[in-house]
Amino acid sequence: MQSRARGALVLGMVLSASACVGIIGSDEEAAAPSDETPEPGTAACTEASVQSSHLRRLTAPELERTVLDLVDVAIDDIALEPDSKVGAFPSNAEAPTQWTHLRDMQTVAERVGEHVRDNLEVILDCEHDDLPSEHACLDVFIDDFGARAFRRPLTSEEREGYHALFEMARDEHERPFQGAIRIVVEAMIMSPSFGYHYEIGNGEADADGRVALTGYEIASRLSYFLWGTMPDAVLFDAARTGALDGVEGIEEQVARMLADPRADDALSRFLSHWLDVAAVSGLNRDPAFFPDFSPEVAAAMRVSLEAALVQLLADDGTLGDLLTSPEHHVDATLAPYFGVEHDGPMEAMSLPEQRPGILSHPGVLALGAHPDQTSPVHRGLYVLERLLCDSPPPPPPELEVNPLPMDPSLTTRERLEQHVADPTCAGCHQFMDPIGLAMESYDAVGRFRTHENGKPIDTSGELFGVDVKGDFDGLGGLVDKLVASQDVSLCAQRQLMRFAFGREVEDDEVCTLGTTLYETDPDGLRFRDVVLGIATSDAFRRIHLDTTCD
Amino acid sequence: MTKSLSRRTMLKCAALSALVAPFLGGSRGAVAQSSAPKRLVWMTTPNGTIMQDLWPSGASFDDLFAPGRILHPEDATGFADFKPKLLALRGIDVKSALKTPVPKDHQPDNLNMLIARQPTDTEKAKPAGKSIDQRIAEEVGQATPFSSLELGTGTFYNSWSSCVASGPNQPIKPIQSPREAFLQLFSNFTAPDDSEAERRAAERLSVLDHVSEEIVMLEKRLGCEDRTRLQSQLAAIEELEKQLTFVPSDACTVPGEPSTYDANDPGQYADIIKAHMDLIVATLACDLTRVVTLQLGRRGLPQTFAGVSQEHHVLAHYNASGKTEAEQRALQSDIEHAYAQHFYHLVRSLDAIPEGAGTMLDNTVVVWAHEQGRGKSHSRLDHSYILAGSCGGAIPTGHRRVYDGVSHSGLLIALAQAMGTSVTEWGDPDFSNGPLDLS
Repeated sequence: MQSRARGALVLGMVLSASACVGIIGSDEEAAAPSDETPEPGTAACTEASVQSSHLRRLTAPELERTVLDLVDVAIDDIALEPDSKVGAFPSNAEAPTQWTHLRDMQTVAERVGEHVRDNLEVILDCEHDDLPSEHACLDVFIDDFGARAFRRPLTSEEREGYHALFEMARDEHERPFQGAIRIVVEAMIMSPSFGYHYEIGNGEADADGRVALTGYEIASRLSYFLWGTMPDAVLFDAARTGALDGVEGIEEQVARMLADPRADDALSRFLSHWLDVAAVSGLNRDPAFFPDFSPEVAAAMRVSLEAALVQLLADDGTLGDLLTSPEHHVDATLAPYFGVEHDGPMEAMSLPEQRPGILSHPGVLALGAHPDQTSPVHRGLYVLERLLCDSPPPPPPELEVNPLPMDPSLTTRERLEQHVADPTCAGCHQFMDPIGLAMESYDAVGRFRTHENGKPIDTSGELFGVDVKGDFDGLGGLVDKLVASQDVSLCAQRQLMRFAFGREVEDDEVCTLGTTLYETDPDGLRFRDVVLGIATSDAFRRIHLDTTCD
Repeated sequence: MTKSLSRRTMLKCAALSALVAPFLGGSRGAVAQSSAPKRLVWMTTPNGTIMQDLWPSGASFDDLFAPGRILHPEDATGFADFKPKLLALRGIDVKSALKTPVPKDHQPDNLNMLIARQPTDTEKAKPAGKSIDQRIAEEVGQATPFSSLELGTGTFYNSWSSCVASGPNQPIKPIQSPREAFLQLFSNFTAPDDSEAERRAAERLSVLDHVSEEIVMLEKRLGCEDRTRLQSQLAAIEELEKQLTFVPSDACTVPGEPSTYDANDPGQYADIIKAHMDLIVATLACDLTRVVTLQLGRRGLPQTFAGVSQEHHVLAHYNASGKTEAEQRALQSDIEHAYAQHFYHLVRSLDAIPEGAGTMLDNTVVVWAHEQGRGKSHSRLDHSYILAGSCGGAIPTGHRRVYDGVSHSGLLIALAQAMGTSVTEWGDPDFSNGPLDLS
């Protein structure tokens, strides 16, 4: 079912490089439809597929924040296994649990267990001086602590299990009350109910196996999406009273949560992952070509990018602002890369001449470059993959895929000619190369230039395979195109869905945002609005649950 | 659930053996001598090799170690006696990596090396099955606290970064920090008279027991696709249980704790490799595991190494600035030569530990493999493999052999059989033709 939906919609949603059809100017390309993006409310868009939950382990940062909120214990000194990624976003949806992960959880569980044992009088206000009162206290603890750890009330089977474990610790291992509680806590923290985003819905599946998530599961989804941690007391309350079973209740919580600084943090993490900001600080350049570039410069570039993203969110900026804003954060280290005079610490400067938006940031430009030269292909790919959600297929198997050999008598465009001349290459490179070549006015460390190897740089080009195809010139021209592109707007929403769900997102799921929100104009797209659109969408509130396995 | 009963029984047995162990003393060594375990260590380095410096056509076995060659030993002491324990193979194709559709860039390479199946999903390549080390560990890993050990350097974010997988779309990420690996491997070792530590170990078993019961309960209510995720947790629990109940033999010495290395400092790369290797030797000597993979030089790690400041990958594509092709080839050979010296360090360390009538290396096979034949073209043809140790006499050594484009799955099958497993076919059935004759 999944693949059918994908096939039916792929042309309309992301027509383009993923197909790599045709050669420039051929009939095939001319005939390729470019305006089939389904409109909200149309037949193509009303029947969304509902996806399975994609059981995910908490990411390391999610685990750290959750433990902090659960028991106020820091675990950031524990070297946790690094997380896997889905697209640009950390999510342990693919890699299996290895014993090393479980060992990590054991370490975390033992630290939490010890903390609870040593602070039990504070955590559990309950007299337990004889056997009946001890059992009563145990009941209270299992219910209260368990429900917060599991982000839902425990089942009776689970309660019995923890009772039995407690008894074993008391009798077999001869532990006092606190010591036995510690064992219970360890088992709870090591349970998948704590360590995973465990979702099974409310048990009332329809004929197609679609089931609504429980209020508690919605509370967790909201909390990890907007705050990156476990639900707070208000969310738990909303789940308990059934307020999250309807869209209005979710809207109310989203409004409250977005006003909390934790939402800014989460959204800024989203933007950073999306734009690959963390990779910027790891960049290195060949000293023969860029003797001034150093790890300090790379680090400053990252800091400057992060500052821009924080600023964007603080201003409740739009996708359009992200793409066009001439405001950049510059310090003395970065001034030469921005081409300005500035001696002091980092501050926002308006640079309308050569720096339109995030793509003109030296850090982003340097990402799309080799140690010794620019890479129009990688800059093009960056825009295609991140802003247009479009991945060209791999080069043919036996093709040599290398950075271009340097030639001091040619410009990069001239050296790239082969991609256009050879039909095998042109099929895909017609989509990415013009984008990257438009950014040739910036060298491999993002400095503005007009000449390369003594020759003037030609930044003109033609866009293919997007809704805003046609002629343009330079990064400014490219940005003008992107900021008018419905494809870019939809891609940004898809990226935020990937972040929200921690899994790949189907075309028709993006489409169903249409019932609540379907912003086609990047200038009108506010990230907070998209958050609300996603949180109230069908894809967020239901899962597909097939329990009749082979 | 019968499982929980058996676990509790096991726990009691463990406690008992912990008591008895000190009294067994001398007799243990004798037992070990007659039944030394067989072991496999698979070491991999990236960006192919430089065949003209590793193995010029027509080279004899002795020629491979001549001065100027990649395999020339820097330390010649005793090498003449050691050389007969080596085996060099070439002319082996990773045929499954050529099967269309071929995923892009480097994606097919790691995922075919030990799995011998083209990865699924050409866009974001994912392992198409179990890797041979995990298959071998299935049969030989029950005897040791760690069924297998995965070590590596660099980052392993993608589903195609690691060559090890426990099944389809189940990549296994290696442990990158030697110190982290040390803590995982040796932190359960407790003094025999530490009763609180023993009580904790027993409690940990109770907790694991409880968690596995809960997993079984939770798994039933999940959708089908999600169940395998929790099943892999059950396997992980069994691993932790084996580790908790393990009693080290007298021959086992806990090695020194490795320092905290900075993986981002190119200057420490060689030290990290050595720390991993020393840990492997200690781990095998303690019989903590019998199956080890060591994936060196992955993405995300500055690959300046062996006095070469250019990135290995850039050199492999002959794209380093200001260097002729010949110079870049020479620099790659320098890197390969340095890897060869590390390989020698590992195998000769194993050879320095007596075991039975011979050495630990004699009961082990160590393989040095590349994910590509040549880095420049990402070639999957004419791979070379350098082996050391006869795996208890199962592998003929002391010669070189040139094949005419045989499937590399044959080598994997031969190794699995040398390890005493029942493997007869491996990977993509189109290219699986039984074990390779290594003589």
